[in-house]
Amino acid sequence: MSRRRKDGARAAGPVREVSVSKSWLDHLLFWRKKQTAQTAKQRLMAVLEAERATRGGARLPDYLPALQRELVRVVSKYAKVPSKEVRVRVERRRHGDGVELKVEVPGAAGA
Amino acid sequence: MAEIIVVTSGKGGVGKTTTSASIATGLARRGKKVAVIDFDVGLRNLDLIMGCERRVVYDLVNVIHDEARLSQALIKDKHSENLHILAASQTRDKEALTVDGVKRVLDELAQMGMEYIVCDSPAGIETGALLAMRFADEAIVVTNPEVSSVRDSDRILGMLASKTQRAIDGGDPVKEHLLITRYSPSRVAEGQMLSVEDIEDILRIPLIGVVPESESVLKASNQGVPAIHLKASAVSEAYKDVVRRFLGEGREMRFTQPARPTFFQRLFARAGT
Repeated sequence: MSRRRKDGARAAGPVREVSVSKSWLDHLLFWRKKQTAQTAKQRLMAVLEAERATRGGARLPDYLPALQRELVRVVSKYAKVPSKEVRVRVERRRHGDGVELKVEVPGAAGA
Repeated sequence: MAEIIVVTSGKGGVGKTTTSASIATGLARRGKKVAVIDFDVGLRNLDLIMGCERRVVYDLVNVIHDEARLSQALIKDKHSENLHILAASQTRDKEALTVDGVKRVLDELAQMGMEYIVCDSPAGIETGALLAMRFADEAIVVTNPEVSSVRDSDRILGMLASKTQRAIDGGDPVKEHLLITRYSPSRVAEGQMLSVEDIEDILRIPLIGVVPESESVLKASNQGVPAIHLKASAVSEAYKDVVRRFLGEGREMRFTQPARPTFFQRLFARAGT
């Protein structure tokens, strides 16, 4: 829900639809209009990241599940980590893809 | 060798047929020999947009089922003699298309000397859409600056990368192009519409053009004239740019900025971002 708060902050003040068509008032109150495009972008990024991860399509390399299993095996050799805490995801950037490995080690500070 | 271009989107109503008609026409006007095929079996519409609906005798399904020869089914465009239209069947269901049948038609069109074959995909992710993209070399992914369209385009990109012949054979992938249509620069400036950059960030495929939202598209379809034929219209200029870029001629993006920003818009542009 932290995202929602950020959007609210961006809207700067009470959100009210100004339905006067292109009057000077419209322009004057322009800054008070909610910037919905940014909300759209954030929502899309979030939903597509999840969908791309679950989709078997070739936008994800097909070795990914195997890589994930292997990494879980290696990590668990050294630390007691539940397999769901090992996350591998592919990020597509304009210049090639990157594989990001994220491991949450519970109580690692004390180990 | 014919180059096969699929015009696809996932979502309906974003401008696939308008785009297919204009790009096919644009390529033909540049002297290329072009065929444009409607894959929307059961919901034929390319014929109306091209203005040849009264000349459809045989269609794609007839050719696939050997009920007509390809040369009988191809309709010569009334504006450019380099351009040929192959209509979809209006009566049959979408199961009437087969992979082998489509392959045979595309091969035969190539043998006839077609340089470009434009496949107008139906909406959705069913048989018709899959067959339209199956043998594509290049894909034009038509996207509106709107969440559902962008999401569906992402889905289609996943299919281009996994369900096409190129993906199955493991060769070079289908070359993807992003075409943003129904774009309204003033709404983008107000922060009310996803920008070109936003959509590029999300979909991460190269942009081939931006077609502005315009009333003239309706005017063109009312008359059965591809939008690229419109005189002095931003839409036709935008489509001509797309064709130039497609043919490898560099061309700066146009119609991405508001036409005439007012004093107040300029004054408050900063506060808006």
